[in-house]
Amino acid sequence: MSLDHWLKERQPVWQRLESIVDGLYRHGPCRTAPQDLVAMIELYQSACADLARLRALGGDPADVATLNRLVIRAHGQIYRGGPARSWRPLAFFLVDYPRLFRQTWKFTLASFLIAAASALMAYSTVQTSPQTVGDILGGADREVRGHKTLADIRERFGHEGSPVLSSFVITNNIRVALTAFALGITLGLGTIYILTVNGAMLGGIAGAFAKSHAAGQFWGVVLPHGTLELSAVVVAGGAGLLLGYGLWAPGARTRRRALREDAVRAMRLAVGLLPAFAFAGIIEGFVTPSDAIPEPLKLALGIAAAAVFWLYLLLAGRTPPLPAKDIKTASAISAAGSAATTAG
Amino acid sequence: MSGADQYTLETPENIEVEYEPAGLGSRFCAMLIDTLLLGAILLAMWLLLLLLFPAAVPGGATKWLAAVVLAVAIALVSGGYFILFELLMRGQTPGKKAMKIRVIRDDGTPVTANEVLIRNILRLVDFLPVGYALGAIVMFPNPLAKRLGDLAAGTIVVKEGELDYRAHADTKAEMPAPTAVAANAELTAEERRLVSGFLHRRHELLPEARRQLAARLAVPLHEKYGGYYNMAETYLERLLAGRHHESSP
Repeated sequence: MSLDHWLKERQPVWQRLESIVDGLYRHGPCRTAPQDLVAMIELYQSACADLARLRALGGDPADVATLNRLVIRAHGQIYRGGPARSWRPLAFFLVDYPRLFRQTWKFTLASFLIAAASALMAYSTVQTSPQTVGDILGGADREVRGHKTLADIRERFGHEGSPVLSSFVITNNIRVALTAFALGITLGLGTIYILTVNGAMLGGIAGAFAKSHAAGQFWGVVLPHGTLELSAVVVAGGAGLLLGYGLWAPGARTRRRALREDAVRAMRLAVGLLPAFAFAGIIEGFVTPSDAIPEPLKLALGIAAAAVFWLYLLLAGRTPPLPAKDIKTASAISAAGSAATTAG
Repeated sequence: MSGADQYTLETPENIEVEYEPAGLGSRFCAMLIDTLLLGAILLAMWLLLLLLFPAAVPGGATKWLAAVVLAVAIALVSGGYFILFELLMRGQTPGKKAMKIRVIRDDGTPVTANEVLIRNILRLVDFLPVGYALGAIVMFPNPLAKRLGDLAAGTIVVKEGELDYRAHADTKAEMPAPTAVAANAELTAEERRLVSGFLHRRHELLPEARRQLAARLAVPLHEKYGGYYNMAETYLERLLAGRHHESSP
């Protein structure tokens, strides 16, 4: 039988496979007929065999490439690794996220120390030599200009509290936090840079206000939303450091593998902060600029928000401790298990 | 389609399949289309927002609500355009679809939420300092044209050509194609591919180019495998069929 003849004979098989696979890419497995799904496996296997045969026989490269593409597309659908797990937000936020935070808390601590050290240095520098405030803020020139535009917007939309302002603030903060995570890929150096700059800016401005005996005014504007916002930024910095650390010290893994594995954990750590940023942004848009809410109440709200956030990170999703009776049973079972293993 | 630019993966059926990574050019074009589309969508939303906002003050609760919804929608669209489309279109965005490219995982399977989120958040770094400069610098020496986001997520952007089965009836019927069921096993796989590729497509070449190419292929092969050499093309046909030692057709 000639190769061309054979090709012509096989073509209907490939076209059938192609139409099933196309349907899967378009509509997913739920809207594909069950008998098609069953048939697809066999069709795919025969297409694989056909591809190997066509290559061995020295078929036309164009035909080989076409068949290759078909096999790729079918392969992608068949070996997609289990059903697409639907995301369970409740389980993620109530259990998985706080656990992830506790697994990686050292990185958040490191992130906090970097930002805090930088803030303290800027604060004390401004105290002793006030002329340096321009230098510190000059280093964060763009950030300050960002704040200036925010102030303009605040002017324009008034002090009544504004959904638009909130939305801008939230978007901006989320961008900074996600950048801090993403820059982890620069061996963590970019993350350290962001933490240092933001820490220095906060410390520098606070120092300048303190120098002119207006510290209360400054903290009154920053703290209501800042407690939660800064906490979340520090955790995002931790995510960046986690990503970067895997590249420095991958352990027994290859660096490529470490990057891929740590990227998933770090991404979850960063993305899970989005509700915190949304909440902080709402406070910043509605509570901080409001004239109707007394200052102490604003402060109390800010502290309460941060307290809830940290308690959640530290306590949520813990397995309740087993009663003593169960622990005894469990250790008896595990002892019996290890004895059985040794005997075996 | 040189061997160096391809990404070969072995399936569980022990079949090697080849992916062709999308290059800088097609990815840049896809990004450009997406950026323009995103810009147009955002512009439309902004206009709507500006129309609604002034009326928000005197107690128009409906319009106030609309402004909130729009403000949130703008934030979601500008931040989530790529994420949303790559999730919904299984690794494609409108721009990628137009350029016939798709994001897949390194193992050839469709992307999941993890990969989509990682590679698109890493966009923030690939974009630095301006216009995806860092991403392009990383992509350039990488044989699979991966930017940082692809490296972290374990994804690869591949060309996804259409499956056009060549019409075997028309062009090939005119030209005698090699009809060997078993090709000459003496030849290496690469040689087989070269020779059969030439024989299958020689009718598409200009006569002069066809003659030169045949000679360039046939002369070194004849030095290596010997046999009866008269006409370059005839020699290649017979070599592929393993009949190059026979003196008569």
